[in-house]
Order: sequence, then C-alpha cells, then structure tokens
Amino acid sequence: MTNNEIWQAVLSELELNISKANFNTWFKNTGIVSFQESHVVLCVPNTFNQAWIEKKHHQQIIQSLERITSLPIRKLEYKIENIKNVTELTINTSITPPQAHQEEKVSFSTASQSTPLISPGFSINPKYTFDNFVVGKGSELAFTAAKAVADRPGESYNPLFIYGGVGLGKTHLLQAVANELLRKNPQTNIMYVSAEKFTNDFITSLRTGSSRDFQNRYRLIDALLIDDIQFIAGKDASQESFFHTFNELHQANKQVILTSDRPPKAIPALEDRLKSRFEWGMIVDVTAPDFETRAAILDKKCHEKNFPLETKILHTVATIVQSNIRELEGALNKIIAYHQLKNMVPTQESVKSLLSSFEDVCGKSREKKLSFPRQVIMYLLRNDLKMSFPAIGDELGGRDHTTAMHANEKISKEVENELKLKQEVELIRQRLYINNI
Amino acid sequence: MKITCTKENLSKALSIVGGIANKSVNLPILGNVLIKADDQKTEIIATNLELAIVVHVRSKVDEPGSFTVPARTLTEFVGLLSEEKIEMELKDNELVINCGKSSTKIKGSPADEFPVIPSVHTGTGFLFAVDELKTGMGQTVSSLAKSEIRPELSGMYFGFNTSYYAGLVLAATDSYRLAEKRVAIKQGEGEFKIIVPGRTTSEIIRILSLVETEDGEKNVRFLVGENQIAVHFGNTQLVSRLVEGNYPDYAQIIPKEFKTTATLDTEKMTKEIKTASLFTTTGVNAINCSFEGKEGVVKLASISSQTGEYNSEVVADIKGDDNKITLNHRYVLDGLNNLKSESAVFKIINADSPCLVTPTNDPNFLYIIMPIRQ
Repeated sequence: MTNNEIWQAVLSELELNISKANFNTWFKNTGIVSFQESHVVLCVPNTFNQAWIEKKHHQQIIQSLERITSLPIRKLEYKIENIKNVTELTINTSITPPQAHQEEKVSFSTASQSTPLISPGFSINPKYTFDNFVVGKGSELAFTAAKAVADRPGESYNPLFIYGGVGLGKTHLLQAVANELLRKNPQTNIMYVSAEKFTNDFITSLRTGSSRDFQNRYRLIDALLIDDIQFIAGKDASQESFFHTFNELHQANKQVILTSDRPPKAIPALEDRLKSRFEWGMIVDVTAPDFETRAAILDKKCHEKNFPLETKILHTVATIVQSNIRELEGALNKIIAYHQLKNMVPTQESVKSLLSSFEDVCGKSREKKLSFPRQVIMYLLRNDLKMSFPAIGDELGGRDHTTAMHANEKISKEVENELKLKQEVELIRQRLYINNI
Repeated sequence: MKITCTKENLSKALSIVGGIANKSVNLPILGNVLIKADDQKTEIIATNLELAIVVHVRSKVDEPGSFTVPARTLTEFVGLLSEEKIEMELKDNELVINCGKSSTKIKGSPADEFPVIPSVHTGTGFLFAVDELKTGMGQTVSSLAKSEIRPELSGMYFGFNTSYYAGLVLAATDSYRLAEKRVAIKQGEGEFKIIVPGRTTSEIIRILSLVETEDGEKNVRFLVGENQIAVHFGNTQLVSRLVEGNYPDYAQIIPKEFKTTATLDTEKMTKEIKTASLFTTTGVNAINCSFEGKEGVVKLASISSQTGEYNSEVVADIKGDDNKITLNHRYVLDGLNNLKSESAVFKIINADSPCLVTPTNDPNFLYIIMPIRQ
C-alpha cells in the first residue's frame, strides 16, 4: 500500500465517526508525509488543524493506522506543509517547468508597465514535445500546422484550431507548441488554460471586481492556448469576454491556439461571431491512429519506459486497443506492471487475457455476466482493501460512489445468504492472497 | 462555570474578538465566542481558523469551566445591560446571565466542539513601540492585493533584521503600487522573512488601537514561530497562521536615480487629484501629470468621453528636467492619504518608469506607483 492509500483508508474510517462538516474542515488537505517502520509523520495545512487533530483524533488515527497496516505505531507526528508539495515531490520532481520560478521574477521586474502580469495558469508539461509525437496519417496535417505555428507564431495560421476525439494528441500538440516557443525564448509569456479555467477566472474577476486583473492576465501575453474550448459554449458572458480577448490578441498578431472535440460549426450554443473567428485561421483535425501508427506509438512508449516488447505482441495490443492513444498507453502500463510484478516474460497469450478481461469489467456494459463480477470486485475492494467508495467507483470505469455502495451492500447480503457465492468469494480470496505470498 | 465581572471589561473584550467570529457553513460554532474560566483568569476567545484572538478578562471565578455562545447575541446583549456587575453561570447547556434585576438564558454549544487554539510554544520574540508599529501597518495595509490570485501578495511582508534593513520592514503591494515602511525593533534578534495574512494585519491594527493597557504599557510583543505568529499586547493575544511562499524581491523595482523631483503640498495635491478623478474614464482612472520646472507647477489633466475634462495646476518646487507621467488617481490618493506629512515629494524618471512618492518628514516610508503606459 502506498502512503496515500493508507491515509485514504484511515480517512474512510474516520469519516464514519465524525460529522461531515467536521471531517471536511479538519481533514481536508491532510496526508502522510513519511511512514517509516513505526514512525508516522502527517502533514496538515495549518496550526489550527494540527491543534484540533492532535487533541481530538490522535488516538483514533493511531488505532486506524495500526489496524490497516497491521504494524504497531509508536510515534505519530504532525508537520505543517502543503499537501500538494508533498504529493508532487514524491511522485515527480520534474513536473514543474524550470521557467515557472523565473517567470515570477521577470514579471515583477518588468512591472514598470503598470500592468505586471504572471500567468498562474502556466502549467506546461515539458514532457510533450514535437520530437516525441508520433505522426500518423490522421495527425499529419495537424502536426505540420502546429510546427509552422511554433516556427512563426502569430504569422502562419492564426488562430489554429485543432479538433478530434479524446486521447488523440490534441493536448500533446498544444503543449508541444508551448514548449517549442519557450525553448526558443524562455521569456515568452504563454497562457495555457482550459476553457473551464478561463470561465472560472472570468467569474472570479466579476465577483471580486478585479476585471482589470483578468484583462491584463489574458490580454498582455504572447500566446494564448485554450484546451477544450467547446466548454465555453452556452456561457454567454464568458463567450463575450473571450471574443474581446481574442480580437485584441489577434489584432496584435499574438498566436491563439484552440482545441476542441468537434469542429467549430458543430459546437452547439456557440455564438456565430465566435464560430466565424475560429474558422478564420486554420482548422485541422486529428483522427484515430491507424494500425501502423498505433504500433509505432507503442514501440516509442516501450522505449521510453525501457520495456521492449516483441513486435508480435505490439501488434496484438495495437489490434485489441483501437480507440485512442490514452487507452493504448494505459494498456501498455498494465502489461508492464503485471509482468514486472509477476516477474514473467510477456507472451502473446498473457497479454491477450490481460487486456480482454479487465477492459470489460471496467466498461460500460450492464450485462449480468459482467455486472455481477464487477459488484463482487467492488465488494472485495471495500472489505479487503478498505478502499473508499468513490475510489472504488473510479477504479472500475469511473462509476459513481453510490453504485459501489449498492454493490457492496448487495453482495454482503448475498454472501451471507448463499453458501455457493460465499465459497466462490472465499476461493477468489485464496487465489489472490496465495498468489501474493 | 460561574464567574462575575464588570460590564465594561466584558464588553471591551467582546468588541475585540467579535470581528472575527463569523458563522461558517461547515462549522457554525465559529460564530460563537468561547468563555473559558479557570482558577486564575477568564478568557474570551474567537477564531476563524486563520487567526484566533484571546482576551483576558479580569473577573472573580467561583467555579471554573468553559462554554460557547453566539458572539453577536452576547455582544449586543451585554451592550444593552445597564448595571455594572454581571454574573454568568453555566446551567444545563445554557448560559445564565444575572445583571441587576434581569436574568437571561443564552443557548450555546459545549466548549469541546470549539476549535483548539494552537499555542505558539517556540519562536523568536520581538518588541515594538505600539504607536510606531500601528502607524506603519496602517500606512501600508491599503496597498495589499485584494484578490487571492497571488496569495503572497494578499498578505503583508514582515522582514525582521534582513540584510536590506536592520529593523522591521513592512511592505504591501498589489503589483500596481507598493508601500514600504521601516520600523525600529526595540528588542529581538534573528533574521526572518514572513508574510502575514491581510485579515490578520487588519486585526492587529484593530487590537493595537482598541486595547488599553492598564500599566501604560507601550510595547507590543511578537513571537515568530514556524508557520505561525503570535502577537501579545496588554490583555490580548492574537495567534495567526502565515501565508506560504516567498515574497517577491520588490526592492529591485525601487528606482535609485531620478530625473525630476517635485515637492508639493499634500493637501492641495489630494484635492486636485480628487477633482480630476471625476473626469477620468472608469476602469482606467488615468490622470496626466506634467512637471513644468520653469513655471514651478505640476499640471494635472484628465479627460473622459462621458463626463468631460479637467485641467489644473499645483504649485511645486521642481528640480531637474521637465517630465510627464500618467498615473491612476486611486493609487495616487491612497499614497497621499498615507503619507502623514504636510508636503509630499514626487520623484520620476520618465513616463514608463515607477514613480516614487515620499513624505518630507519621515525617511522611513516610501510609496511607489506604476505608471499607466500610453
């Protein structure tokens, strides 16, 4: 179990014993910083939370921890720290681009413009570059257009509108442009946000009366990159604000790049003047990769992850997973994790069985032959791993936590009443635990 | 719990803590004040989970105990009492208050539901003269950023014994203007750079103005701990969390050399700027200032497509080149209001560089306004 899983389990126990309001107030943004033998350090957001948790829940937490980990806890300490720092640090230290810090200083020193600015939406992942984008038939045009934009921002195609289904590389291209621009000139002021963030910022600016801050933030920049612009549809005031932002940037020859899951014409409740503006520059689509591209992507990912697979197996995976690249990567991760854990060499059979079964249980189907096993899985996750209901729902194809609750209740009852089911569940448990040992 | 105290003492204590006792959706008990009586003393406590204020109230404790009641109800009620002596007793989850011939029961919640107030055990102590600190914080507080977009700018910077200044430096900026004040440290050593939340700074200023010390104590004590700060003054103690993050290195934007210096009357300038502000475009608030050395005036001009235009002059002692700059009237007024000096000095380089405003009677305060670029 990871520290996070342990803490989630502790929280789900605590949640049962205290009121929701109390729980939300005191346990929000808490987590385990370190867990070494019998010494646990918790991070809490501030001294108030620390004082409360220490006084009211100290013993409870120790007991929960002992029960969940089956280890004796000798010392439980508290540390005031931002949970985000903790998780980011342990997961990936290089996730924030090195420019982020400089950016702040730079903007402060150029503050003489009376309109200093920072781009708080600035979260460009340096992982996405043009070099590691696998170009296929479906993405050739989009790739070329994005490259042209990165070479001559604001001149070649403005705006650039990229559309296509989920997990086909829109965001990758968008961020690749940003990274390329930053590589050429680290001082470039790029605003990269989702349409939702844009709307939220706009609403916040209305509420706090800081519409000038908002304007400065979005208008005094070198390039504006908005992901999933279709979400702006139907939000009239945001659309209008975006319209003005767009015009201003376009007039100043600043590059605008937008992505969406469908072409501008097909976005409902989008004002005509915006539609026509989107169609002004260049509209490119990315479509699902063909078989060869999928195989090439898999090959590249395998090299990145240092886990070479036979060409045959690659082809099997590329045949089974057809829909999008995100799923392709997910499938690959699963194969790698499975075989590394079991210390096995992947074979065509093992890969096939691995990909077929799990997909279905996590899928949308409500057929009994799938839904019942799914419910049993939920029951086991709840009772044996003590996972929280929302986490279980997420794990099994993003289902609602109430679905998980229902499944748990239902199977619990049936296990009590039906001997056969009880035996089967026991059998599953045995297989799971014996394999583990 | 059973205590007796005077109306005056209780009323004062409630007015000090009352400001932060506000109901929160998640935790309604935050709208209550905690009354805590032990053998030696009675404390009135309120918190909003960012900061907490504890006031000691002189009282006779017959029976120790603690209880919480809604802050507003208690404050308003005590304010209306006519007798001086107040008796409070906890009976069956109600606070019974006897005063003169009246008897009241106020419903409340048990004290163990009230947040635990963190105590600052370890930290470094500093001593300041109350008046100096209060004035200094008052002069800078209005420059704090109102929004939380950059949390570090929504708080006030406190630099203790930094290489920049051996004393306390207070700074506040919303990135359009900046106010900086230097305050002497009477006692205390060690270098610290902390950011105190905006709300906390207003409460500290309030406490420093409201609390009357009995022994005529003129010093306020700060205790700087990790992630938190405690302020002791008279019978009142404030504990607050600090804002995470690093304060921007603002010193680098303060210009060192200027082309034009104008010394003028603060009051006249304030009046003219106010008048000119009526004729600016809302949202832009631009006033054009031209510094004319030969005529010895600063010419102010504003124009709005809706209301009209305004031209005026303020007599000034101008040294250096003739110069022009466009400034936001709100920022100029905020600065002038905080100078606390009869005459003001405006120093500028050109239309694109920051404008420095200082009082003539205090070398420890400075105010910087970013110009509006044309």
